[in-house]
Amino acid sequence: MKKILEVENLRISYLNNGSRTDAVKDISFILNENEVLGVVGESGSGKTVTALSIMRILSHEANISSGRILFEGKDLLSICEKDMENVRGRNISMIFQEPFSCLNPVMTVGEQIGEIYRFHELSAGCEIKKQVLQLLEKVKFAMPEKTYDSYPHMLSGGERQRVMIAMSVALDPRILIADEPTTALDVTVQAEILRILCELKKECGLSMIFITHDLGIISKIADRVMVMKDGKIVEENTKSGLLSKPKEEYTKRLISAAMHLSSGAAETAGENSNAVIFEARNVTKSFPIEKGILRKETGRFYAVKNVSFAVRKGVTAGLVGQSGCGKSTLAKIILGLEKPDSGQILFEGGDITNFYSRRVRGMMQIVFQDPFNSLNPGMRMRDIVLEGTHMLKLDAGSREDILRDVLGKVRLSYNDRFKFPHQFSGGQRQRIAIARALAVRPSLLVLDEPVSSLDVLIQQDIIALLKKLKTEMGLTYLFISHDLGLIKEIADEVYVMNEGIIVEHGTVEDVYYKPKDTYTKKLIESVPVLTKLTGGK
Amino acid sequence: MKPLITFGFILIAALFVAAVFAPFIATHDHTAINIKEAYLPPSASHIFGTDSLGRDLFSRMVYASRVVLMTGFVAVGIAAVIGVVLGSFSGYFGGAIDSVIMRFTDMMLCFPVFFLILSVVAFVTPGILNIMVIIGCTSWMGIARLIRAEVLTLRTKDYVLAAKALGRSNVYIVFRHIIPNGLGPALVNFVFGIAGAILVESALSFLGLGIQPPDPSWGNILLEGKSGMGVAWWVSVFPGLAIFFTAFGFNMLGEGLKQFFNPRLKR
Amino acid sequence: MTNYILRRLIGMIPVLFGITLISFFVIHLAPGKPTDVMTDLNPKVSQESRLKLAELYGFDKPVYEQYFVWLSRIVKLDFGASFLDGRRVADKIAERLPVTIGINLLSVILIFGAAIPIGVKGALHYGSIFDRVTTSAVFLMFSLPSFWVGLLAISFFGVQMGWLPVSGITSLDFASYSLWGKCVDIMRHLILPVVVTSIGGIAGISRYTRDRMIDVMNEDYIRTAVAKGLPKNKVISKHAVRNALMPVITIAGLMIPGLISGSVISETIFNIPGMGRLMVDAVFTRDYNLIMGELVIVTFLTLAGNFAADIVYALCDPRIKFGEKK
Repeated sequence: MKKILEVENLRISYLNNGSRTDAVKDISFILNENEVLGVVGESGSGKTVTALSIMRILSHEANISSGRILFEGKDLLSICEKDMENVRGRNISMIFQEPFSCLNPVMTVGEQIGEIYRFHELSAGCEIKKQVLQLLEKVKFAMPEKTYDSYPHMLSGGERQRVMIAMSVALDPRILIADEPTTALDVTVQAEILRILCELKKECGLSMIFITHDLGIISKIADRVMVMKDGKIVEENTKSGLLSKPKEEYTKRLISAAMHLSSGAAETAGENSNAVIFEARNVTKSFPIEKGILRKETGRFYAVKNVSFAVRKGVTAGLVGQSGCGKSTLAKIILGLEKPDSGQILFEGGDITNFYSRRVRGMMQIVFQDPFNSLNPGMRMRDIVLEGTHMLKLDAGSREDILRDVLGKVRLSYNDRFKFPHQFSGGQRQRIAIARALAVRPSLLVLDEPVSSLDVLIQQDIIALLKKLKTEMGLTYLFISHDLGLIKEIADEVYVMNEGIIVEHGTVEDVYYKPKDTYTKKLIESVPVLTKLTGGK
Repeated sequence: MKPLITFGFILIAALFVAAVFAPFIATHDHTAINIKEAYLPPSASHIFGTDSLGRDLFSRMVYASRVVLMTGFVAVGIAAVIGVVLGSFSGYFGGAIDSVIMRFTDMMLCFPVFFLILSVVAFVTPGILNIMVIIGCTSWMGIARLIRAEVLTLRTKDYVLAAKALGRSNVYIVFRHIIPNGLGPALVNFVFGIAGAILVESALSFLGLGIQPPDPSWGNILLEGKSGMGVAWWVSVFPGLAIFFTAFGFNMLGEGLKQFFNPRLKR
Repeated sequence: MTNYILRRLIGMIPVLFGITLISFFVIHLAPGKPTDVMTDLNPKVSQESRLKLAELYGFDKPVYEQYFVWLSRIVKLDFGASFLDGRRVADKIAERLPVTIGINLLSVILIFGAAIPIGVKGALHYGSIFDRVTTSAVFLMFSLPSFWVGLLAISFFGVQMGWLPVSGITSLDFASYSLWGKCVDIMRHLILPVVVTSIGGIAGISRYTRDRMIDVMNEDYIRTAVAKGLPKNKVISKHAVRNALMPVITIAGLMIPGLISGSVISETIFNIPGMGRLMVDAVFTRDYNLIMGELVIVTFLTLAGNFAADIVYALCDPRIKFGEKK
């Protein structure tokens, strides 16, 4: 195998409030021709910083203190900026994670792709347009002419990412660095992007560095894999080697977490014959669309269309859907934070559609997705956790008891109760949010993407905690997520939602292995599953 | 930036001291007219010299600091009350209330503030209180918009939704979650507003439409300075410097607060 | 796009009404009748005569009726007659308008011409000596009372150094100058007033531009442009500046009322026959019709300016020009 890129003893530090911290600590690795090197790691592992340093587009707070990056016989870290400009886009290019903000909103797609040709002085005038159109075809745009004249805000996330890919392969680079290119996209769109990337790799003989936290993707497209943690390379091997015989403890944990998600079916409680604790009947919710000169309401956008479902006591009901399908709106309606246009909400048999009494509110609680936004930054932990207990009319002593009890359950230290949210980590903050919900002893807990913002290993911690709490406290869960693997792991029954409608419903077995609806089928197929290379796990 | 902010702080502190302890700091009786001593240049006995009526300039300026400070705080206080009330109602309740209040705010913003103030001043008896009220009633719009934006953002924060799910009342939510988190940027705006109000009052007094003599205001002292321009430079320079340093002090304080609430903007 | 323009125009109508309403009632807040000022100085005028005078001008009618009468007149651009000299208010304003607009236009040019490069440079050389010095200078400028600066300028440039004229817009022997001489003369007279009016604006816009540039430079699409291999100066000029400056256009619109307010001061100090000075004079003489007329016209101008700024902005931002996505 011929080496195309070699990183030697790279050390990068960041200036943070006057002190220097190392983001990348003396790493070395190589990239061979025509291979895909997968880089896996959690946030803070240094994977993105490494990639940015290869392109030399780090921010001013970063400092590359030592190391060499050898490409075509030159050390990229020692050439002048002008020469580096020639390397970028032409020999090595990069695509990023956030397709929604990576294109200039005031320039058309055609202009933005075209300027690559213009500034690398490879062609001019109408030649450029022809080449751009060809490029757009390559990334599977059905109407390249139309896309050429479009502005970024007219395109979807997946389309914008395809434009990014087009820009990055325009000049036939030798290396493409992809930094979590599909993390922000829906699972179905993700599959398409990965397909395009694989095709381009074959067609153009690209070498790729693919950064992701998702081992499922790695197992699909990588040739070799490198695991990073805290700025160091923990393990490096061929894909099959790493996945079947991981050497390091950390790697093993990552694989185990991914396997859980792809193969583990929940310990189903068997046929559940408990009473229905919560029911939604024909719930519809719409929002006005205002158009025209006088902002007249020209139509309504239906976020939730005639949705009905019932949740039995003690069950974990999973609601799975991609972004925009209406699941968050549904969650808010369930909790009485939004009023439906029509339909009924029943709790323990009683109709609560129009009024959620304090008692009812106390029986249903919610944990939100973003642990940074769901806690008031100015409130102390104990006040946050006890926020709902005002309803119970307790004295100070009983309050403290509840606090102690619930903190113990979520494994947070009672001694930390006077700290503020910013003094806790993401995973700990989510525990605080869970504690806040549990302090009022609800029967139903709605979890809206509770672990999506957390790193893979911490996700496992929280999921394990949630499973434990469910049995301990006899809870019923409505678990909402876009992550099919997660739902498979934790849910007893699954509802699949798309564009406001529940398209399929059944046990995990039924939905995941014998899906009836076309959308569900497409969804299941798109998920890059960590296949059993491990044999024996 | 830091040294400038500290400097600003010191200036404001000095101003407060001057205003509060005026009787002790003034070297002469600021109302004592003594034509024989008119237009004396700065000297040991008259630190800033005397004005056209022989009054000690320094003492007049020290007493004027009271008026200036009071105007700044009262005017901004009035603007703040109006702005916060309108802004929070608009943001929290939305719908028709929001539309009406915002339309009204937009209309008020179309008026060049000075022209509006002048129009009112024309028909109202001049006086310190009237000036403060007028300035306050014409400068609340920025605050209203700011508060409304804050409230809109905070209203959809997950911790507000969580509080609702926990059965908390709207009143609790407004006082416990929205106001404390929204107050920061508002405070910055208030401080900058004080600097602005002081500049407006001085300008009005300079035009002869604000604080009327014999009540001292740095603005109307400057007005006198205008007539004595070639003859007595000190009457034109010192009051102007005082206005400048005061506004500067508040602007620096505001900038410091801005950085405190938003560390991202540091440097 | 035309949709947007029409929408804005129609939206302005209630605002126009609202402005006339506010103007009218603000003035009528004061106790007594506006015509009283005509008679205040003459103690021999009887109460009866006062009432008769009020009746003559229609001030005895109920307020809302007065409003509609007045409204119907100003729609025909009839602002009544000045209490001071009986001339038509519309005429008096018309002869002052060009001067004020001229000075403000020059101010805007000066402000943008100076502030934008300073702001952009400050952002690109973030934290450098240039940036720190200009930032401090900006804070100083914000705190300067414009009338004081004007006074000092007059005494220094005019009285002491004699380099520039400090009063009016033309010299005494203006009529004898050649065409070129006349232009130069006017320009020389305008230098100080324009500069004094612009101080606050330069400070504000340069600061705003700097902050915007810094924000934009941190945006993802700038990183994309660099990753494409574009040379740095092209990245800045093609991508950063265009995005950063778009909102500055709107800010320009918002600056208009401030500039017009500022012209009150500079016209008074430099003795310029503009709208601002006219207003001040009107206030001193409690010239009701003139004050009302000025207030309404000046506000309309502001509205027009804001509207123009909005349209220019909409033309530049494709998100508005072409509407939201499919």
